Amino acid sequence: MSRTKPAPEEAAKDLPPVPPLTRNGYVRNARTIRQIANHQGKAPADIRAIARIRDEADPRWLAAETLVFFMRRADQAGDDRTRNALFAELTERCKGFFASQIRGFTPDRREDIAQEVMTKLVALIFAEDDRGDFAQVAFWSLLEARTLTAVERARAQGRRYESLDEPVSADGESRMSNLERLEAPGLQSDDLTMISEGLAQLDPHLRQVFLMRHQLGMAVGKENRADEDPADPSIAFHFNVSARTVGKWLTKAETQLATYRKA
Amino acid sequence: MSQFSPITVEDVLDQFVAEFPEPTRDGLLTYIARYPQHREALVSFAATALEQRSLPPAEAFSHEQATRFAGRAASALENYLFGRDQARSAPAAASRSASSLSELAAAAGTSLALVAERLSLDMGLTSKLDRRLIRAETIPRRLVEGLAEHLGSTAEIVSQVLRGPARMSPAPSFMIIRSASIPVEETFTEAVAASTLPDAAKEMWTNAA
Repeated sequence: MSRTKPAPEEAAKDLPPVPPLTRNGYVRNARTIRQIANHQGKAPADIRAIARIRDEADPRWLAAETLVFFMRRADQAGDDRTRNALFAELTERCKGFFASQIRGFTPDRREDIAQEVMTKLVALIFAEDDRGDFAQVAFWSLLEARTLTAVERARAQGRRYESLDEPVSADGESRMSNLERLEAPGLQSDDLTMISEGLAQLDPHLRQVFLMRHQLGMAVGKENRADEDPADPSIAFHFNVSARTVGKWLTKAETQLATYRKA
Repeated sequence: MSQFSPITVEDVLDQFVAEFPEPTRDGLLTYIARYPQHREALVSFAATALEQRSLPPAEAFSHEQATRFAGRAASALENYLFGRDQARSAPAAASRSASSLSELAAAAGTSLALVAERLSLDMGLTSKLDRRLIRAETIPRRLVEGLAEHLGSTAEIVSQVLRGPARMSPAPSFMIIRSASIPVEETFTEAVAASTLPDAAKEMWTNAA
């Protein structure tokens, strides 16, 4: 699977034109255009055979975006055999992605999330309108975006704020004040490595809040909501809670991570 | 990109990942500035992306899991194609007989609130559309298509539903006026202007009209 963006190249010359995409002004990259143009005159059996090539160094290898184009074309032509063969190949290529990218869930839940994403992907790829056009622009980005959305939904289902809002100790209160005073809360990759085990043990919501603060650099929150800047939202603004509540969440996260920082 | 294109939240997130494979503060603020109507979705999404990256990679699928995954994906394709064939041969009865957007939403197993969020509408505007309080000929085609997409229907059916007589809010049975019809005066642009949408979303829909 190739997740890197191909370098900009000139569009294929002297090759048959490729039907343009219509959604949001999307344009396929030069590699995809060249692959489509090179193969669109080939017989379905040849396309099916080429699609099975997994070695990216092979000049006949087809990117996922190109597979999507030929899958849609086969579907529109009523060529079920080619459509199903190309879809099976794409599914095979997606396995590795789902196995490594859905983290922090039980194996069963991970399979369910992967299934949910595949179901939506099918609806996009074979949609009769242009809603799936981005799959021919940047397939792996689309798959990642849809997977993260599914992960977000799965997290929201199990989210529980109440237990996180309990009062913190006096020590925690002082640490909270320190957190709020932090002006440049960026975490270096070394810091992240050091506490990665601890992060994995954190409640998913606390983990998110901690990373919003320390990796996205979001402010804890303003005392007065009217002072918030929607163009640069704080964590409190995003969750629609007080800055004090966010401070408590961060204190809990810090307290639990402290052991790993010292280790 | 067409300035008249009401971009969906999914479109925005796809582009965000493609442009910023690693979520950063700069990337997030850039996208919030570009799509302020999707601010909450962008923040949640970036936080989830970071959260996933902070966790150790999961183990590869076992042979059994991989086989099951491939089988379930093939079933997803079969189910989709079966549903599409059914819809082509006879448009879903529920969708066809629906007389309002909320009935279409119920038939599609979704809610108008969710559809409104996906299309950058507010509930006031969506409610007016549902009750046909906006002059149908002023409703942009892109909105009709967007509604059809999210309601699992067709643009023709949605157009038909939007063109019916205005509906009053449900009223108690003891009220005599419950079936009275009311004149529809408001245009889509006026309804957008009167809505609580953020300025960027108002501008987008006003341009689309």
